[in-house]
Amino acid sequence: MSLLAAERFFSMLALVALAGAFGLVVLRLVPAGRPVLDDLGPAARWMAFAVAATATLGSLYFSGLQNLTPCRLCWYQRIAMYSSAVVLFVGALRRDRDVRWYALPLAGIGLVISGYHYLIEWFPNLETGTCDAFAPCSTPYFRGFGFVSLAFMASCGFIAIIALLTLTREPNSPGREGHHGNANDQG
Amino acid sequence: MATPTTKAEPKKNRTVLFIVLGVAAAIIVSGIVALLSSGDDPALSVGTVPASVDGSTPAATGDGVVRGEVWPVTIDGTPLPGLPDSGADPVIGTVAPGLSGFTFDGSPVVVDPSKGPVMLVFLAHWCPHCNREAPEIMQWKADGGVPAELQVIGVTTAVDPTRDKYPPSSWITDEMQWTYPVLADSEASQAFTGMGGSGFPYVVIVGADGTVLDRWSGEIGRDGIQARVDAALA
Repeated sequence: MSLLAAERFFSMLALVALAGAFGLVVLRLVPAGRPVLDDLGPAARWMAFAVAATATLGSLYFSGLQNLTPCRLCWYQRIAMYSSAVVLFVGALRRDRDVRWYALPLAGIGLVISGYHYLIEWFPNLETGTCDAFAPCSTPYFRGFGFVSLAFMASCGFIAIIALLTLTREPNSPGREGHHGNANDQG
Repeated sequence: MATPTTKAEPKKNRTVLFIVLGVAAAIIVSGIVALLSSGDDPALSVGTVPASVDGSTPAATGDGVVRGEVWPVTIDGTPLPGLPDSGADPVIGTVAPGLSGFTFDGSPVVVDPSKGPVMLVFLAHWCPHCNREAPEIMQWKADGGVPAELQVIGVTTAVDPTRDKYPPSSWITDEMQWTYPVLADSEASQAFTGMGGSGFPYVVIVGADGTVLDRWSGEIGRDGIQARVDAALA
């Protein structure tokens, strides 16, 4: 696969993840969407893991196969995303609803860093007046569709993970599987 | 009590299945669209001059010269160590190496430190700071701020065909409106590394005696350049 094809593929996936997160917000705001969020609850951990795993594999693909050297801020986002993938996998496997307390801080930190990274890609003078010769943070390797950089993709991934872990709901307890209470408030 | 659970489970499973199928369909469609809408990545254009052509005179396409964005570069002398992040620069006052190479059309470009003073400006086409600093230098020239005895030579380096504003030949000429001679660095950016560069834009000023007078990395603007040049040549 060429870099251009990979760029477009992952750009579209990122936009799908962002649209999904937006869809969850809409479902949360519309009364008719609540049952859907209830139904999604138990699967949300696996979906969040799928997002983190896809982002992890995409990141490794770009650096390992396309030889795009990660910059300093990319590494910080990698730490957050790769850790999220592992934590979410274990959480999904154990059906541990408390996994959100471990995954959300990672995703939140990752979102802040990727948001800042995306900002300095458009306003490079906010950080420095120099482009590092090997892996400058302020210069994206590409901008899919004119705006989707790797930092933007990471932001989309983190937003989707946060949305999946905070907006979906689970039954209060296994013994009340048919009763859709709001488990978000109970961790 | 069991009845609600039995009714809810198939509905819940249908919702999850519907979403999973939707995501899978989005992934497949994304992959197909990406593969169909993109071609091969642009290739790096490497210039070559046949051995029969005398490198000391301008070459012509008819001589078998292949125009390119990167060209072989020869470093004559000891390469400079990297620019320190802070503190005094140890290479100030030491002899700078010479550079021999070509511009995009195969015409030779020679940087001979013994024929200084010369200011080498290393620019990367994809670097936003270079995209701001190069026009500043041209404006500095238009304003008459460049000392008459100072030669200015641009060096296009870190050339990457997959990044913004490739190819550098049209970028520096058409977009930057650069009118000074240009040395096209090699694929491995030998001129840049040989002069101790680590960031862009990168400037090295070599004096009339062939020694390094000043060097810096980063965008400093017209006034900043004027001040550094005036101090170096004073």
